[in-house]
Amino acid sequence: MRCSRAGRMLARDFITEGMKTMKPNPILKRIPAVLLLALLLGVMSPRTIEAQVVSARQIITLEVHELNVIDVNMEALTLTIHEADVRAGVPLPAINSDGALFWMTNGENKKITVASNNAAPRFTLKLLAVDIQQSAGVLLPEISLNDAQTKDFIVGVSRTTGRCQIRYTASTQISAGVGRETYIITYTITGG
Amino acid sequence: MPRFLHSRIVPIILLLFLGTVEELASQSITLQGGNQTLGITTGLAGSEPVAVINTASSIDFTKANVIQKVTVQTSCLGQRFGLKVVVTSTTLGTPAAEVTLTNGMPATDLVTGVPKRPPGPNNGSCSLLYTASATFAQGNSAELGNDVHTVTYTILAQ
Amino acid sequence: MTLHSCIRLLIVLLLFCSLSRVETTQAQPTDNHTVTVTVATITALQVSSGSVNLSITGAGVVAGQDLMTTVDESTNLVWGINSANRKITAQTGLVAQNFTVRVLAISPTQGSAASEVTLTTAAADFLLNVGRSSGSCGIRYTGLALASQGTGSDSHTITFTVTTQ
Repeated sequence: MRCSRAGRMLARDFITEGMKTMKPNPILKRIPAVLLLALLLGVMSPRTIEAQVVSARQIITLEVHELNVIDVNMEALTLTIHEADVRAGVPLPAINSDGALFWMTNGENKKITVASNNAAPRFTLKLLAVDIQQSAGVLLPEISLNDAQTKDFIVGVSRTTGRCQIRYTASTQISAGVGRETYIITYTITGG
Repeated sequence: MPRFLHSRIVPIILLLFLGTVEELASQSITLQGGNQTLGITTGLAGSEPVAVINTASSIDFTKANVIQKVTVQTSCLGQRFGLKVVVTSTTLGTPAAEVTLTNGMPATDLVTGVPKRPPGPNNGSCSLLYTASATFAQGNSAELGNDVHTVTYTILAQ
Repeated sequence: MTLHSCIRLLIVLLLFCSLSRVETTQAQPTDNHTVTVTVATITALQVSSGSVNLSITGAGVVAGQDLMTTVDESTNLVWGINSANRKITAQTGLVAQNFTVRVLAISPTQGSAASEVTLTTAAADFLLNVGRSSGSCGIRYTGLALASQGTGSDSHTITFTVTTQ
């Protein structure tokens, strides 16, 4: 199925001539661009280079910042003094332990302080942390909110979560008469 | 032999033979470049393997007394990957659209309108461009084997 | 022309015709060759970004709860695999971790996501049944820290690998 030598020579000669008049396929006008694109993809694209590996890597950085969070479970409590010890001649204190305090810190050597907005209270309001979880902090003695100073409430709080009940005790003297006082009490986790 | 026989019959016989030879010989097509291999070796993540091309083949053919065309067909049992062919340029006739080569396909036009002779040269040539492609879903040769096509080109009256 | 000359001429003509017919039978209207298509084993894997930052800064942290978390879904993984029976695993190069990072493939276009895993230096399944496919999935990283673990940072080099399932 091969041409004779003479035939092949003739064909070759003509091909040489014919190259000048070859008609390109219009469909192929896009081929140089396609080839160029394929070449670029094959040679330059990092995706292609990476495509030949079986692994891909990624750097993950996890940062944990210092976080101190504190909250109370009840935003409003009411203590009412409505009884008195006749023999002692003093009104009986009112006690409320419904409130609880929660905190969390991943920092070191923190403490929880408390402050009242009432700098000169007419009545007496004290508070004490009770039922604290083990190793969540160190309780301090009962605090009297008789001014607007910030006072330590729980100390030794490090990398922990905690919870305690807050026992409020309201008391008064006969001489203080009757009335109503509102305290805005702020707990803060601080220090370190 | 009488002179009139010599002077009339012999040239006639000669022309008849020559004509026959020319007519049959014109149904000629020859592939140049030999057998070809196209290897797909790279791929894009999230896309598909990069198709490869091959331009090492060409076809030589001859004119006949009728307008002709060149067709292509292939045989590839168990074909898994893609193969296309297109004529990138031709000295005679008009290139057809790219042909997708699939096993058992009918003969499909590759070059049409090869003019009959005369005038002009009796021989033509066209360049072939093969494009092999595959998808990731089609697998690889190590697991499935190669596709071996027997690609047949035919020149015939159009 | 003599008869002898005529015979010689006929012999020459017949010889020529004979040669011509030989030539004619050699010219054929078809020709063929073999074209072989080979496809190499191709495995392509890429993450959309080379780095991810996870920060636990306090958003969503609840007083009284020990565990703090942060989530990142900003990156994805794309792949192309033409081998059968393949999966993608994930592992970290960080041996001593202060905190915990978990990883989960989300919404894979091919294959199926493995369960969320904590990253360790041992390869853990991330995506299953991704042989002979091209697809993508989101990468969900979850950073976890306990209050008791304090502050600091971990830098992981995560390696996703295509391997036999």
